[in-house]
Amino acid sequence: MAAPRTTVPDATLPGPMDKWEVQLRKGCLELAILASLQAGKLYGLEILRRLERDSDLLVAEGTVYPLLSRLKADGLLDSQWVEADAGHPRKYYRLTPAGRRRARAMARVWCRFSASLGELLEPLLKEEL
Amino acid sequence: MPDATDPRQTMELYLLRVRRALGRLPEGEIVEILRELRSHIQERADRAGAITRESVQVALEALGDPVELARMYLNENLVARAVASRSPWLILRAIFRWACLSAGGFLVFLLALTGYGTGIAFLFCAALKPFFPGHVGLWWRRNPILFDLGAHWPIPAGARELLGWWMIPVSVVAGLALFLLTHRFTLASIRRFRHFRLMPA
Repeated sequence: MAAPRTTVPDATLPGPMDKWEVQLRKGCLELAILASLQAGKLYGLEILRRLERDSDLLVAEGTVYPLLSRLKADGLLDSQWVEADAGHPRKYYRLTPAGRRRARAMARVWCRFSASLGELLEPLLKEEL
Repeated sequence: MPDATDPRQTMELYLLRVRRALGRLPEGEIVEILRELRSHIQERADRAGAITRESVQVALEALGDPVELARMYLNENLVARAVASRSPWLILRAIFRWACLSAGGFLVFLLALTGYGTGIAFLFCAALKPFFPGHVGLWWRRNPILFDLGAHWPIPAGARELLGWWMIPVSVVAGLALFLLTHRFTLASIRRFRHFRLMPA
C-alpha cells in the first residue's frame, strides 16, 4: 500500500530555503489543478494522482479539496455528482470558460516568468559544473 | 458506543470531527463537503484493495487532521464569500483569520480596524451633533494643547469648538471617505491573501 505523500522540500536547501520552496510549490498548486483539468473532467482523487504523476508538487491530499471548493466558488470550476460502479458517487470537476481563460493566462505568465528568470539563473547553474 | 474496529465508523467519526469544526458554514455546504470527503476516503480505500480498518486509516492520515482540514475549508470559503459579497463584516472576519496566520495579515487587520472604526466614529459624531450641539465638535485649545474631534462631557476648560454646524457635513464626508478608502484597501488586501494563503505543508 502506498504511503501518503506530503510536500517534501529539497534536502539540500538550508532552513529558510525550505520555506521558500514550500511557498513556491503552494503558489503553483492553483495553476497545476486548473491545468490538470484542461483535457476534461476529473474527480478529486484523479486530480491528485494526475498532479503526482505529471508534476513535482507532491501535494498533501487535504489541501486540494478546500482549494477545489474555492475555485468552484470563484466560478473557475464546475462540478457534477456522478454515480459510479464503485458503489459511491464521485464529484467530477471541469473548467468553466472563465476557468479555461484563467488557466491560459496563468500559464502564459508562468512561462514568460520562468523563461526570463532562467536566463538570469543559468550562470549560477554553470558555476556548479 | 462506536466500534473502533469498524472502518465505516472510523470514517464517520473523522467526518463528524470535520463537521463540528465547520460549524459556522451553511448546512448545505457542510453536507456537500462531507459527501465529497466520504467519497474520497471510500475511493482511496477501495483502490487499496478493500475498505478495511487499515485502508481507511491510511486514507484519513493522508487527508490530515480533521480540524486543520476544516480550517482550510473555512479560510477558502470565507475569503471567497467576503470578496463576492464585499461585506465589510465578512472582509474583517477573513482578514482576522489572515491575521492569525501572519504578521502581514495582522498589520492589515489593524489598519482595517482603525480605518473602519475611525470612519464610523466620524459618522457617529455627525449623528450626535444635532442632539448635543454644545458638546460635539472639533475642539481646540492652545495651552495645554488640545486638538480633537469628538464629544466631551464636560467641555475641557478653555477649549473652543471650531466647526459649529459645519461639523455635520465635514464629519459625514470624512467618515464616508475613510470608510470607502478602508473598504477598497481591505478588498485589495484580501485578494492578495487569496494568492499567498498559507496552507499546511
